[in-house]
Amino acid sequence: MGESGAGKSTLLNIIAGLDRPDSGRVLFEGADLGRMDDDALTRLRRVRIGFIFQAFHILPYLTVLQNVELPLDLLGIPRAQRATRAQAWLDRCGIGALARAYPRELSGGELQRIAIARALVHEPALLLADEPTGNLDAGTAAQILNLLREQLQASAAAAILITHSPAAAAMADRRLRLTGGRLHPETP
Amino acid sequence: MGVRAAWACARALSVSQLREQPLRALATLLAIALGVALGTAVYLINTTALTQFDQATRQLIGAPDLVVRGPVSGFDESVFETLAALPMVGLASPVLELPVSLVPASHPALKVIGLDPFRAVALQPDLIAALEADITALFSHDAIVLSRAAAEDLNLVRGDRLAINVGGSVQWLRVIDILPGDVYPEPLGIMDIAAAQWSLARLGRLNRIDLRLRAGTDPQQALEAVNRWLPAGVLAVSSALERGRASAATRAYRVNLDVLALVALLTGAFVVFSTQWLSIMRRRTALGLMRALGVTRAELRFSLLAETAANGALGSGLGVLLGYLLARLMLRYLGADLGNAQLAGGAASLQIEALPLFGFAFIGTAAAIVGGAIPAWQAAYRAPALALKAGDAEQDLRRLSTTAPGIVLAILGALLAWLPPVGGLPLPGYLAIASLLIGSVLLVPALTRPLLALLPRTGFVVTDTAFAQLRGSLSSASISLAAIIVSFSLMVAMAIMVHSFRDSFEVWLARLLPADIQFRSSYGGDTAVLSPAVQARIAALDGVTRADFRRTQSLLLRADRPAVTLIARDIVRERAAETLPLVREAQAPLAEAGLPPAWISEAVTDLYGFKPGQTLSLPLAGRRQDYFIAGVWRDYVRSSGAIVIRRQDYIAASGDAGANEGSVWRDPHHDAASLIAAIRASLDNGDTLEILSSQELRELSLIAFDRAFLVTYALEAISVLIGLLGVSVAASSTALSRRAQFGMLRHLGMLRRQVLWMFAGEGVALSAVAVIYGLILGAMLSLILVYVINRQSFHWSIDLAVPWGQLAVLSLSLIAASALTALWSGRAAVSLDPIQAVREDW
Repeated sequence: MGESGAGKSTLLNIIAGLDRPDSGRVLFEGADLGRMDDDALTRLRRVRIGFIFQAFHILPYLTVLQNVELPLDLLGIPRAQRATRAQAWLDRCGIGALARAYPRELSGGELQRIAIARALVHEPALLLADEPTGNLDAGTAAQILNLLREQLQASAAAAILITHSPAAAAMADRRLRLTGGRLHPETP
Repeated sequence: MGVRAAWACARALSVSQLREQPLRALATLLAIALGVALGTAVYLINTTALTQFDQATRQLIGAPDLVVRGPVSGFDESVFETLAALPMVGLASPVLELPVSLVPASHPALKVIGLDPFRAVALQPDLIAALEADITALFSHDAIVLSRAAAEDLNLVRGDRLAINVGGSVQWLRVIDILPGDVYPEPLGIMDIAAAQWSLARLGRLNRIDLRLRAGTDPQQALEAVNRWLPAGVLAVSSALERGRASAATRAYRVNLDVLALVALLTGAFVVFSTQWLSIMRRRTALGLMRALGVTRAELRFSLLAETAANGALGSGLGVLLGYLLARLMLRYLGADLGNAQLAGGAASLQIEALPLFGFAFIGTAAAIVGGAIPAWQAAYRAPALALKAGDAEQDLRRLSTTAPGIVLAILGALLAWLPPVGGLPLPGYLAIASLLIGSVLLVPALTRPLLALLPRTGFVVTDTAFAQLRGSLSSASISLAAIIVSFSLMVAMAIMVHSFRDSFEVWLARLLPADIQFRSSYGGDTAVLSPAVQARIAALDGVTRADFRRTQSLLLRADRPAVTLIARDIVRERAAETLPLVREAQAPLAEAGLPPAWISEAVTDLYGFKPGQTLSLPLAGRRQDYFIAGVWRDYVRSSGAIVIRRQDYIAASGDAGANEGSVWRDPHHDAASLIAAIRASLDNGDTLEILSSQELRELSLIAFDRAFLVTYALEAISVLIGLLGVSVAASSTALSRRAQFGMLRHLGMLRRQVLWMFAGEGVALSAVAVIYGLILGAMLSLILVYVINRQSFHWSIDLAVPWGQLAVLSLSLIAASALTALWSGRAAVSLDPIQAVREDW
């Protein structure tokens, strides 16, 4: 958690290897991200990391199913297997019926469900979520958070979540606040 | 790099591209296809014409080691006996090669080759072997064998008679055979040498001797030895040089067409470049997402390049197909000469080889890849975290500084324009144009900023928003601007060049045709002459106030250059400027020179380096005769060069008082038609003279001029079409990327109509800027076209004349076209539900 402009998204980008820190190290499964080149970082993201954005970032001209298949496609998984796995994740996220729909026809809650399916479909070790409920109403946000928690537990992935919402924060095992460029433990 | 991942990425990106706007994908495809089609068509036609030309030349020249060439009027046949007796000569074959004047005189002359069949069988074996009739039948004095093309042109079959004009009277030849079509592709007649000398009134004369050297003779030494035995104006050349000279005459014209086709191809590549750039800018968030999901830079670059390559390959394939069809159409309606009478030949069939066609498809694809490479590179190196933030795509572009390279290229272009031609071709001129074009495009952002700052604040929210939008998105606007500027400035440059040429040509025609009636005894032939008696009869006709007669013939000055035309005409030395369109005169007082004067065309100065005031030595009737170069004149007909001398000097030097052209001034009380009838009646056979009023001749010449420029106009039009495709692609791309903005403005209370007008207003402002640029840049390019490229290609000067009206119409149509495309693509963007438009943050 943290104020706007505190550097939460920057921190997340550094963890994802999308940005480089001026100083300090990021260790991921024992490997120093600072020693990896851009290609190695990208492959690490492809295999081990999942992303959820506040603005959903669902490709509008691909169907829901194709959007979720995308990470599997990048990993070179055969088409049939890809479709089965993506469909399974859509089902788990409660939007199995929307597989053939196009994103422009869907609501914000539905879009974020797709994003969750896409972030977890390739079974990453770490999920990075940047204000995943920031664009949603309270009711939908609660549903999304529940879904996220269930699926994280089911897939045994760790997650780092950036949020302004106390409700979202309450879901976390560990809460940190970023102020003045430092992380402080947050007591509920 | 993972190829699978790259493909997955390419699939996801291009599927969305295609779904998003299939029409735009089609327009990009068409832009490259049109460019490739033009290149392919021009190439195919050029190759067809050249192959045909080459085949004809090869058959006609055959396989001698050396060819001895004299003026058309010929040399004494004793030269043949001298050469045949030389120890290094194994075989000598005497030839008389003449353009024979036909009756009626308006029919183009027929090339007739008179040879000794028994000697020629070793040197022109294909030609002789094809003579099916008994070879002895050829020995009859009036027997002629025609090529298939000649028989078709003249509408003759075996056994028919052919009317020719020899020395002003009609003679008849018997067609004893017609060659199969594949032996010789152009019109030709073959006669026995003795029969030809007799029938064409050239007794004892030859104008070509083919020599085969004895084995072991050094050709170079033999060439020098043979040349020592030859009279003035007769030259021995190697047969390779002889063949090359034939195609050299038309090379500049062909290279110009090739360059035009290349321009179309490059404009196509530029459209691909700007389309790809705009489409990448528009998809920056999607690309950022791909990077976040684990697509490496190399994979992203590869997938974007694969996308353009696929576009390029598809477009090029389509283009080659289109080019083939276009070439067939052009051959059918224009002929292989592409409207240039210099290259006139028979009907040609299209020559197709697979390799060059693949070559064009490859060039098109490569152009597309090069066009897409820079934006793909840029996209791959953009920080994904930044790209994912919905924001200003301008930042990426602003960082690209184009001003310095732009200035360097513009200066380089200005310098290149001053360089001399390379290998007889205006290559530095073309490079100057390319360099100026690219340089100015790079300078667009730097130059546009102050222009846009001039746009006023109108107080109307719609226009003010449009202008503010333009100022804010200058860098991306520059990319759409560049495509319009490139095609529009080329269009302007070509329009100015063609107009200047036509203008100069008209002035020139008026100067050259001051008389009321023009006539000639043959269209290109050399056997028909008006005798002094006939000339006197015409001059004495009632209603003729003045008659001028001219004798024209071709003259070989140098072995490696096409023949120049010698024109002997009535001209008063001191008043030459009244008769000839002089561009320079000798400074030295004429009287002191003591030599007869000669006036050379600009081509003679360019090709042979002669200057006014110098002495010119011409081979006439086997002797060298010196002339004082009194001036340089402008000639738009003979790009190989022409020399005018006084007729009395010509008669004194050659003893030839005949004429083959003339002009008549009429008494105002007589009308042209009756005078023409009177001239005809004064001849033994009225058909032996082609007579036209100067008015008719002027009109016919202008029609021929326009026909020669038809292909240029067509190429120009297609370049413009490609440019307009670029405009529409840019407009639709911009409209698409601003859907969210449009939706927001609708939320704020702007009417749909107002949003549309705002977008169209931007289009108009943008194309107005492009028009201003295009006019200035086009004017600069036209200077290079007029003063450098035209002069170096054709060796004649033209005066700059600006077609103001035409430019105004072109400018307004371009602005109107951009407004319409903007409206059209804006309508699609605005028709989206504003709620959805705002939500779609793509």
